[in-house]
Amino acid sequence: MSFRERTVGRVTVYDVDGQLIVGNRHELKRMMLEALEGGARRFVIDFSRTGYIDSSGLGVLITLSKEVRAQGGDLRLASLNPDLQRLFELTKLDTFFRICDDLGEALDE
Amino acid sequence: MERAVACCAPAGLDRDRLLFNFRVGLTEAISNAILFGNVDDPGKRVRIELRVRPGEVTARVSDEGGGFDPGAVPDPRLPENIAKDSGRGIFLMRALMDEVHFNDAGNAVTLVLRDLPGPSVSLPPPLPDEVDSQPDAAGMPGVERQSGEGEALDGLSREMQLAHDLQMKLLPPIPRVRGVEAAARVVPAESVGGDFYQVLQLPGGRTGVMIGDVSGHGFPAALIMALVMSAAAISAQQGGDPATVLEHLDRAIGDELESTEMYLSLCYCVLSPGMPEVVYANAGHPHAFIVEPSGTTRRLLATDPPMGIGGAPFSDARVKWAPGEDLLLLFTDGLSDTVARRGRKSGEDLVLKTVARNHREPAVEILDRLFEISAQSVPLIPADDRTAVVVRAE
Repeated sequence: MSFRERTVGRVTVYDVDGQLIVGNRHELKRMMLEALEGGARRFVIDFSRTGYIDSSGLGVLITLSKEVRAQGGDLRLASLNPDLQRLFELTKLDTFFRICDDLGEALDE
Repeated sequence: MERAVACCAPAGLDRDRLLFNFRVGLTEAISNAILFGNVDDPGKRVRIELRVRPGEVTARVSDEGGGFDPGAVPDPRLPENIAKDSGRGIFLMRALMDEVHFNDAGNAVTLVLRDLPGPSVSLPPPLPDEVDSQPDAAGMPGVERQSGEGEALDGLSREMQLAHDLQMKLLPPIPRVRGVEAAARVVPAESVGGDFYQVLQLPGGRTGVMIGDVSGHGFPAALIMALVMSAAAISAQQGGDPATVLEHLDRAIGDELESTEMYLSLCYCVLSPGMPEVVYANAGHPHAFIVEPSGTTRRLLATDPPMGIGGAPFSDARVKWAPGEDLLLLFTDGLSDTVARRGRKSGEDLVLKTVARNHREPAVEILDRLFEISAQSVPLIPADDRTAVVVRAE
C-alpha cells in the first residue's frame, strides 16, 4: 500500500510510503479526486516516508494542485527530504507549490 | 470517430496509417468544420461522407458555414502564427493525409489517404527503425527499440506501440554542423512516452540543442511532442533567444497541455562558435549539465517551472563554456533512474561520473557507455523513456 488517507481536523492528509512514480501515481490521483468530489477542500501530502518522486509523479501533483485550486481549495506538500526538496528547486516547482517543512506547519490555517 | 475508422477497414490500409493519420486528420477536419465553419453554432450540422475502396479512403467533411479561403490561412509554423489556434488543423491534415482539397466555396474539405509504403508521418524526415551506433559521431542519432513486435496486442498496448512508433519517427536526424559533434539517443519504455530531443542548425553558425520530457503517455503525449518539435524548429530558425523560443512554444501548446493535464519539462541551449558561454532557457528540466575535461560538472539550473502550469514569461541564463573542451550533457530522469542503486536516491551521480570518465571519447561512444550501464542495471524504479544528448562544439 503506497498511500494512506487520514483526516486531521478539516484537512485530508495523505502519507506517501516509498515512492510516487509512474507505477502508482494514478492511485494517489484517484484517492484525492474522490475526496475532492466528496467535499474536501484542504489537502496535505506528507512525504516524510517518501524516498523518490519521478517526473510523472511530479506531473500528477501538478494536476492535483490545479484541480484543488479550481475548486477553491488548497494543497500543501510537507516534509520533503533534502533530495526531494532539491528536485522541486531544480524544476522550479518550489515556486508553484506551497511547500512546508513539516506536517505541523502544513496543518496551520 | 471509432465508427468512421471501423467503416474504413475494408480499404485494407496499414493499421498505423488508419489509426493515426486518418483519425487525427479527420478529427482536425471535423473540429475545423465545427469551430470555424459553423462558428460553434450547435444548430448547424457537419456532414461526413466516406468512400472506401481497396487501398484508398476518401473522407469529405462539409459544414454549413460561409466558407473560407484556405490559401489565406496563415502557416502555423511561422513564428507570428505559432501562438494561434487556427491553421494548425490544416497544417496537420496536410502533413498526415496524402491529399487535402477544399471546394471553391471553402466549406468542404476532402481528405484522401492511400496505402503507400513509407512513413506514416511526413513532418520531419523519418528515421530507420534501428540505427547502429556509428563511430562517425556527427551523423545519425542512435534509436533503439525495446518493444516487442508481431504479437497480437490489445487496444491499449497497440495504441502505446503506435505512439512510440510516432515518437521514433518524429525524432529528427542530427544535422552535420562544422565544428560540432553531437549524439543523441532515445530508448522508449513500454508504457510511457514523450521524451524527445532536437539539434538545430541556426543562423550565424550557431547550434540549438533541446531536450524535453512530456509527462503523460500514448497519443496525447506523442501529439504534444509533434507540436513542440515543429513549433520549436521554426521558432528557433528565426534566431530568437532561448527564452523567446520557449515563449512561442508555451503559447503554441500551453492550452493543449492544460486541457490534457500534461506538462512539459524542456531545456533549450544555444551554442555560438568560439563563444565562451552557453545561453539557455530551462523550463523545469532537472538534468542539464556542462561537463569539463577535469570532470567538474556545472548544472544548467532551471530558469522557470515546466510548461503547462501557466509559466510564461521565460528568462534566459548564461553559463561559462570552454569551446572544443567542455561537453554539454542533457538527459531525462528515465536514464538516471535506471542506474539508481539501492541506498541512492538517484542515478544522476553515476551518469555524470560515466561521462566525466569518458570525456575524451567521441560523443556517440559516451552515449554507448551511458546506455550500457543503464542496460546492465536492474532498475529500482519502473522504466520511463531514457534519453540523452551529448554535444561538443568548437
